[in-house]
Amino acid sequence: MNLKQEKDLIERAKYSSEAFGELYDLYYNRIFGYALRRSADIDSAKDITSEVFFKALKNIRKFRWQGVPFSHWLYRIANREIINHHNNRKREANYEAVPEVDNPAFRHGLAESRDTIKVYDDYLDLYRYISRLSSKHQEVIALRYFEDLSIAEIAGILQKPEGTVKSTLHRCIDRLRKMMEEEKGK
Amino acid sequence: MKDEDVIKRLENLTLPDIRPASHHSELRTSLIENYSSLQAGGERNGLLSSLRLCVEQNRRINKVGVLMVSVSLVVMVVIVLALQFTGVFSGVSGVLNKASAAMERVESYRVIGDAYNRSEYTNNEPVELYYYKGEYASSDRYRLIQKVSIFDSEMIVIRKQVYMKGYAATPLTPEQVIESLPNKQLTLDQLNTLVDIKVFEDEYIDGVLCYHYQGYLDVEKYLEKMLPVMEKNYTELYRPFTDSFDERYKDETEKPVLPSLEESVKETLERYEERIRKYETVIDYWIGKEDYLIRKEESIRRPVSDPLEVNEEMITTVKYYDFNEDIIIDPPLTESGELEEGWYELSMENFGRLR
Repeated sequence: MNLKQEKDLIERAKYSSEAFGELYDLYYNRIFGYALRRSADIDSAKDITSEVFFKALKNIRKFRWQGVPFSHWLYRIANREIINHHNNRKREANYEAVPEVDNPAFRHGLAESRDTIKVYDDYLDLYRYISRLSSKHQEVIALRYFEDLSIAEIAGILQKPEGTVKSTLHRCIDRLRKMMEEEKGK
Repeated sequence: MKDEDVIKRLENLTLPDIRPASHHSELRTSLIENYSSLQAGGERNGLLSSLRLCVEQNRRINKVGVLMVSVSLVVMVVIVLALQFTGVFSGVSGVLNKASAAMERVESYRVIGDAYNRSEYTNNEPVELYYYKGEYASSDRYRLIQKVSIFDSEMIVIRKQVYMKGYAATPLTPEQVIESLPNKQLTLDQLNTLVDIKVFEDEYIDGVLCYHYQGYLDVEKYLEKMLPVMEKNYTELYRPFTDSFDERYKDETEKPVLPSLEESVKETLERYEERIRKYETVIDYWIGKEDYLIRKEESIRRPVSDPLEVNEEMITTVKYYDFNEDIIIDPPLTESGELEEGWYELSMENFGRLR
């Protein structure tokens, strides 16, 4: 779907549930995948995705076309929801700041869809470090390496100049490297 | 370990990629079922609970409602097409071009304006942010009076001499002063980047019958125009400080490490760009039907389509009057040629000169 078609679909989705359904189908997998990779938890990813589309529907009439993909807006909502979700979990269940990525439910969930859980070990290992970064830094890393977006696209989503995104990314990598070295040295 | 090793690991990750079909269909059903009530601001918690519980029963979509919306859309499209054929829209750009040309030709004028904030924090009641009045004898000779909260400040610009009073106390930063100097050029910069223009009924402003148009600021076009201007302004603003700094620390070894002029300008420009991109601005113009001069401009700025931001709006109103009248701007000097009390003077090439 090109940008013009997407713009038309969004305009229709403002007044038609069917068109909103089409938009939803178009972006569900992408947003669920992003939420999953950001939270490393299947139930959290489901909750976050529900919240994202709930807010998107509630506010779609306020949405104004800016010539960029609709996904940018959804990613922005998702970023906020991920922070809210994490804060709520911390508040509600005295949840640890660093998520327990080794939790059996997550591994079981992954195993359901793939034959092996081994392939995700490297992701889970790296996630331990990434989850210790600030949420703003996590967003940049996830959009770049989990979503495979360009610097320009990330700048569009985060509404920051490209130079700021590049320098943030550089700081994130540097911080990750130091965390890994520190742990190795222990 | 090097940064490249970390990047390589990140690039080669096998990422979890699950497609929970049941959640997809259950959420879809709930959203479609509650489409109308959610958009109308329906009770959130109840609906969210129903989403979480994955309500399984489909309700029939209100086909009559959908049909009515579709009919309304068709009627709107027909009206828009009719207006296009009757030339209403094609005339708008002509009027805007004439307004732009007419304002360019204006030498002197007065302007008053104010800005208000309105948000959930203030129960949507307007709260005054600032008030200003400007008198322009020409593009490089003008006086500006600003009032922010209880702080009054005044600036007189006569070519490269800038006289200032009260700015030490005002909460405005020098960058904000530069970015928001109310003048016809700023109004024209915005006017020339207007998109999605709507036409309203003519209105009288201060006894003058005016066209009334409304449109959105095209952020990309606006930035393309404003970034070079702001770069020049920030450079002129920061140069005296960096120059004096260089003079103060002749000995390079004693000189503290601070960002260079270029770095400071670049950072401020980045912040400016970030701020502009963060908002969408809808602007109304009232343009005299006979002389095409802009009598009034009203803009509403709000965060770009971000449902999680507090719904905060800034409403700015600017009124132009006394076009091409004799306006005298003198430096604030006593009879003996000294600066009047409370004033200080700067010499800044280009700073005061409007484009």
